[in-house]
Amino acid sequence: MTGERRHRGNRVREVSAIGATPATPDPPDGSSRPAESEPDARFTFANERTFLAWTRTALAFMVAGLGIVQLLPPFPGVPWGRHVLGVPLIVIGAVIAVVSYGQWVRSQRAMRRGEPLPRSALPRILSISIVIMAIISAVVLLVSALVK
Amino acid sequence: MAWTRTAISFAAAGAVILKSHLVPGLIVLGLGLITWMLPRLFPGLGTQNASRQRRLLLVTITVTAAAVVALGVALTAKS
Repeated sequence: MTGERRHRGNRVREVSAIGATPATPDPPDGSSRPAESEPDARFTFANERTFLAWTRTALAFMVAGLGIVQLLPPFPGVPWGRHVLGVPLIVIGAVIAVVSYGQWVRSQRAMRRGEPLPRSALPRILSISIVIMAIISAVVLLVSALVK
Repeated sequence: MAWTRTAISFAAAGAVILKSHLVPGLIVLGLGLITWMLPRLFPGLGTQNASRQRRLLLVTITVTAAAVVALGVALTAKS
């Protein structure tokens, strides 16, 4: 999309690869801060929706953790089982919320500067968390079955 | 719609907390209401980058606060 000319009313403007308006020249004070420009509104909204989707994921982790602690019956022979499963889920939810905000900031900055979007650590965090929680769940269930 | 879905997620968290802890549950439900009202009360806030950043930072702080409340509820629950 680089170099494409987009018509908006009577105005014609150049858009970069991510739909940003042309970057303004480097600051006259000679600082090394990259020039920034307002990205296309669609990309800004998409970035915001991605942030909100991760926020919902974080809340889902928290609800799952709370549900395990409060709604599940105790595991026979493993009185600490619900806490071992529930508390890490709540902590993971908080971590996802904080990391997703950082990701939104980095993506927005990259779009404003016309740079490539940064890689997100969130899918890796999510995958590792789910695997670890699955292993912990299996261990708790096995211990419960053996002790019972 | 994305904001509404997020507010519904807050409501779910608040409802689960409400089951055993009335005040923290109501607080989290209130945070969900704030999340739902943010883009409606301040529609102009999201037009500038700095304002948008502040709004999303507020959501992040709200979720983290809800997580702290949830952690407190989970840790004080009987084994």
